[in-house]
Amino acid sequence: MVELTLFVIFGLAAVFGAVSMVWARNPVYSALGLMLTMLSIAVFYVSNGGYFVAVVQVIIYAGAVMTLFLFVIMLIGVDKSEERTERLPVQRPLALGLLALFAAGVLWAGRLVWVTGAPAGVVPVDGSIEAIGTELFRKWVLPFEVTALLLIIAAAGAVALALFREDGGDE
Amino acid sequence: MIINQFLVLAALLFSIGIYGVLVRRNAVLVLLSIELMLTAVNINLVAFGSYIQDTLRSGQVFALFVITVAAAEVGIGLAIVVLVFRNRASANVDELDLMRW
Amino acid sequence: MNMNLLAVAPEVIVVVAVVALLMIDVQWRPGPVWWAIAAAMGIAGATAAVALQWVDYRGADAASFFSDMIAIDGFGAFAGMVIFPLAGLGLMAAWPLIRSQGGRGAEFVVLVLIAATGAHLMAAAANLIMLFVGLEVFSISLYVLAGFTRERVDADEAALKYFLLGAVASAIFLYGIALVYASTGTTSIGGIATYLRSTILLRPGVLMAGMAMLLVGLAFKVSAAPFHMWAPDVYQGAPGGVTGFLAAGAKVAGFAAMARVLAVALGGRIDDWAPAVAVLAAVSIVLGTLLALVQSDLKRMLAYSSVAHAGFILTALVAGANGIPDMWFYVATYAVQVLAAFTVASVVSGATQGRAPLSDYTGLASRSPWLAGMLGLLMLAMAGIPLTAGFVGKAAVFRSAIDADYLWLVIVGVVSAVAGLFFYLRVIVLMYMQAADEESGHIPVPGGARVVLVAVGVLTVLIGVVPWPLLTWLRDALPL
Repeated sequence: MVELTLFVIFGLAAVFGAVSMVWARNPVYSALGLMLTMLSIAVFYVSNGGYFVAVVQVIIYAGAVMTLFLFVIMLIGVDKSEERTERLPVQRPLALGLLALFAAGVLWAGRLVWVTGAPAGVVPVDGSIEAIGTELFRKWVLPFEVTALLLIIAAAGAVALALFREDGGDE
Repeated sequence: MIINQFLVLAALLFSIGIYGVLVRRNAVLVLLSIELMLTAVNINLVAFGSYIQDTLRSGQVFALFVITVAAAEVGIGLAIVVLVFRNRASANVDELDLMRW
Repeated sequence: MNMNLLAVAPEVIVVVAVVALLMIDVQWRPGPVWWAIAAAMGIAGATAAVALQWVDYRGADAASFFSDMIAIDGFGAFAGMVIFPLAGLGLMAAWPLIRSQGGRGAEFVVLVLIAATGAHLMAAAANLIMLFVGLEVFSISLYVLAGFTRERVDADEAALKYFLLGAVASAIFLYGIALVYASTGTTSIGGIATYLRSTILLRPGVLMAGMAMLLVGLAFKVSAAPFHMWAPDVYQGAPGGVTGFLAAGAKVAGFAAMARVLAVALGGRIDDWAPAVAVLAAVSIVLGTLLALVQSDLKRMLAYSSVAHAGFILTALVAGANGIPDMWFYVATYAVQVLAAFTVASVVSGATQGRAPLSDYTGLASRSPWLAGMLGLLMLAMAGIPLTAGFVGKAAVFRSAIDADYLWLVIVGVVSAVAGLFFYLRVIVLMYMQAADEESGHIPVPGGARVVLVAVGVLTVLIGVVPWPLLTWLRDALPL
C-alpha cells in the first residue's frame, strides 16, 4: 500500500515534469521539468531494488547532464521563447493522434500476461553496489570497457566540433 | 505490487518524449525530449529486471549503460547545437532548410 | 568467464593505435604523416586480426567469449574484413579534407578508426547490450564526422539532422531491446533464439511490439524507406571527403546488426517479421528509385540510390539466415562502390564542399577522362549491368527472395532496377555527350583518391566477371 501511494505521488510528479518540459515556453522551465521527472524516476528505481542505478540517476542525470543542459540554454539565450505557430499544419494533430493510439495499445497490452511462466508480482532484486559491481566486472566487463571508447569519442568529438584552437593552422 | 503500472508510466513518458521531438523547435528542447525517451526505457529495464528476477541484473546494468550512452550523446549533441548556433545565431530546427528534396 | 584475446584483438589494436596517435600528436605535433602511420598500423593490425578469426573460427568452429558478449564466427570476421579496409579506403579518400582541417585532422582520423571498431562490435556482438553499445560508438562518431567542417552551414545542418534523428532511432531501438528482454528474460542473442525456439508464447504481443521497434530503429540506421528522411540531407550536406565512409559504413554496420538481430536472435519468429521486411524492401526500392530520378545533385542522387540499394539488400533478408551470404555479397560490393562514387564527387566538387550539382559533371570526359571512366563504371555497377559486381549482387538477392517465396518482391525489384537505369545512365550521358563549360579546366586527382578508385574499379569488374570464389567463400560467413 505504501508502495502504491509512493507510485501514485511520484508517477504524477514524473508525468507533470514531462508535460511541463514539453509545454513550457521558457527552455529553463523545460529543463527543470525534466529534472523533476528524473528525480521522481529515481524513486521507482529504489522501489525495484535498483539502489545504485537510482544514485547514478540522481548524480549523473539530474546533476551533471541537466546542469550541462542549463549551461547551453543560458549560452544560446533564454529570452527567445518559441512561437507556437506550426508550419506543417497536420503535424501537431498527427502527433497527438499517434500518441493516443500508442497509449491505447500500451494500456491494452498492459492487461495481458507479459512473460510466460514468470512470477506475477515484483520482488525487488538486490541492486546494491556490491551486487551490481560483481556482475558488472564479471559478466558485463566487455561492454563496460567499450563505454570507455564511447567516452573517448565524446571527448574527441566535442573537442573537434567546439574548440577553436589558436595554433595548428585552424581557419 | 504488479509490474504494469511501471510499463504504462514508461510508455506514457516515452510518448510524451516523442511528442516533444515532433513539436518543439529549439534543438536543445528536442534533445531534452530524447533524454526523456531514454529515461522511459530505463524505467522499463529496471522494472523488467526485478520482474524476471534476473540474477545477472541485466536490467539494472543495462540501465547504467544507457545512462552512460545518454551522457556521451548529450555531450556531442550539445556541441553540435552550439556549433549550429554559432554559425546561424539560432538553434531552431525549423530553420534547417538549406537542403530540400 | 572464457576470455579469448583474439575475440577483442581488432578492438584492442585499434584502440592502441588511437591512443598512440592522440598522445604523440598532443606531445610533439608530428602532423599528418604520423596520423597516416598510426592509422595504417591500426587498420592493418585489425584487418590481420579479423583475418585470423576468419581462418580459425569460420563455419563450425564459431564460439562466443567474455561471458557470451562477443562472438568469433564467420559473420563477424567477414564484417571486420569489410569494415576495416573500408575505413582505410575512406581515410585515403578523405585525406585532402583531413589536410585542410589543420590540427583537427587527428581527431578526424581517430573518429573514423573508432567508428570502424564500433561497426565491428555491432557485427560481432553476441548480446543485445553489447550490440547497442557498439551501435552508439559507431553512430556518435558518424554524427561528428558529418559536421566536421564547422564553417559551412549545410554541414552543421547535416550533423544536427543526423544526430537528432539518429538519437530518436537509437531510443526506439532501445525500447525494442527492453521489450524483447521483457518477453524472453535475456539479452543474449543466442539465449533469445533458444528461448523462442523452445517456448510457445501464448500472447506474443510484447515480443511483437519489441520486434517492430527493433526493426524501425535498424531501418533508420540503414536508411530504408520510410525511415530514410535523414539520408539525402546528411549525404548532401556532409563534407565530400567523408560522405563515402558515412554511406558505406552505415550500410555494412546496419545490415550486420540487422542480420544478427532478425535472422539469429528472432530467427524463430521469421514468419512474423519477414512480411514487414519485405514491405520495407519494396517501399525502399520504389521510393528510392523514383526520388533519385528527379535529383539535380550527384550526392543527393546517390543518397536516394542508397535508399533503393538498402531495399535490394533487405530483399535478401526476407529469406532469414539462408539469405545472409547473398546479403553479404551485396553489402560488401555495394559499400566499396558507394565509397568510390562519393570519392569521385569529392574530387570533382571539392573535399570540404557539401553540394555536388550535376552541372559540375557536364562534359567531365573531356576534363578528366579517367574520373569520368571510373564514375561511369560505378554507375553501371550500381545499375546492375552484367559483368559488374552489381549485377551478380542483384541476381543473388533475387535468388534468395525467390527461394523464400517472395516473387512479388522480386518483380518490384526488377522493374525498379530497369527504371533505375535511367538516372545512372543520365550521369554517363552528361559526362560523355555534352560539352564542358569553357572556363573549367583539367581536374587533378589526389593520390589517395586514385588508389581508392583503382582498387574499387578492379574489385568491381573482377568480382563481376568471376564471382564464384567470393560466393563460395561467403557460405562460411554465417553467424553463430
